[in-house]
Amino acid sequence: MGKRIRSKIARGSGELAILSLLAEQPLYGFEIAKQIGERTGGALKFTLASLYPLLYEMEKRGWVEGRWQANRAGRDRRYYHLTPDGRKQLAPLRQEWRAFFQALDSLAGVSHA
Amino acid sequence: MREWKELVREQLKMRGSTQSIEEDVIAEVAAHLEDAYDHERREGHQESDARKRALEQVQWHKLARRIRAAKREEGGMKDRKKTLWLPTFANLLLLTLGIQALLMLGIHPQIAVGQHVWFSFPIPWLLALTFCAAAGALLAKRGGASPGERMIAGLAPSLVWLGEFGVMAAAFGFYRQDFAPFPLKDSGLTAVWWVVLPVLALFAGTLPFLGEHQVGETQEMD
Repeated sequence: MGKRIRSKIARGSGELAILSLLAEQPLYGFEIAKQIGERTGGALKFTLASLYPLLYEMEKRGWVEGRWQANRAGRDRRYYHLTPDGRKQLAPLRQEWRAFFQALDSLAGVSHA
Repeated sequence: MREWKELVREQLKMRGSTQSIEEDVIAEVAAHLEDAYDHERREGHQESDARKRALEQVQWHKLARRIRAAKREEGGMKDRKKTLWLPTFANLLLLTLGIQALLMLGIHPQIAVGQHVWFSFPIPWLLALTFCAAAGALLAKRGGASPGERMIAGLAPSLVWLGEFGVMAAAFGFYRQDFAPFPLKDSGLTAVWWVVLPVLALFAGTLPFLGEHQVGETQEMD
């Protein structure tokens, strides 16, 4: 997938990407952006203007919780933890996206990974 | 870290955001830029190049606007008041007062209808338009408005005039089977003078506030 996915699809998929990453371990903003970029081969790439507002919205919804902690280099970073509510969102979101790709696949022959 | 915080605070302040954006957010964005800078340095870039590349990840205007929206309960509506409605209203109010003052001083546009329609827009009148448009656009920009919102806040009076002109034309068309109080052949000219010239004056006031004044940025890629 060479081209970056843009706009609302990227935004919607961003929620799933963040929740999936945080389900593995708490991360701070820069790490989230870096891992999403690396693990999607650059298909999803967050700028600051897209990442942090999304994190704050997810925090407001109670899906994630930010806490200042020192990172490995001893610098204070705001680590995002998945909350029980966020964990509950993960399965239905995954299901929604699976259904979305299946629908797209049957319509346009776009198979997902 | 302190340097990055100052930079973030300054950039957000330029977009009228520091009052509504918490210190935590400033610290978090500064931390991100610091990490991005360190990453670029590890990749072998010189200090200035690494700094430039780190800053290229930020579109300050979007960041300020989206963070405000994400942090507020009311979200977009409250934001829109500050970025559009209040600046537009301020522009219209200022212009109304300014025009009244100019009329009291005997300065007003003149229209003479003879063999040809003739118009005159005095310089103070046009300057008043430019000043009010600048005030509206400046207020919108300070409220963190997008360029489109700043444009509307600056050019708002022209939208009102366009509406008035449309109503007037419709009324004359209905009652007199004529487009305007002037002969039909001059109606186009009338529209041009009543709309285009004032709009140009308003645009001159709005234009300086349409730019972002950003440092080292590229297009957002999300």
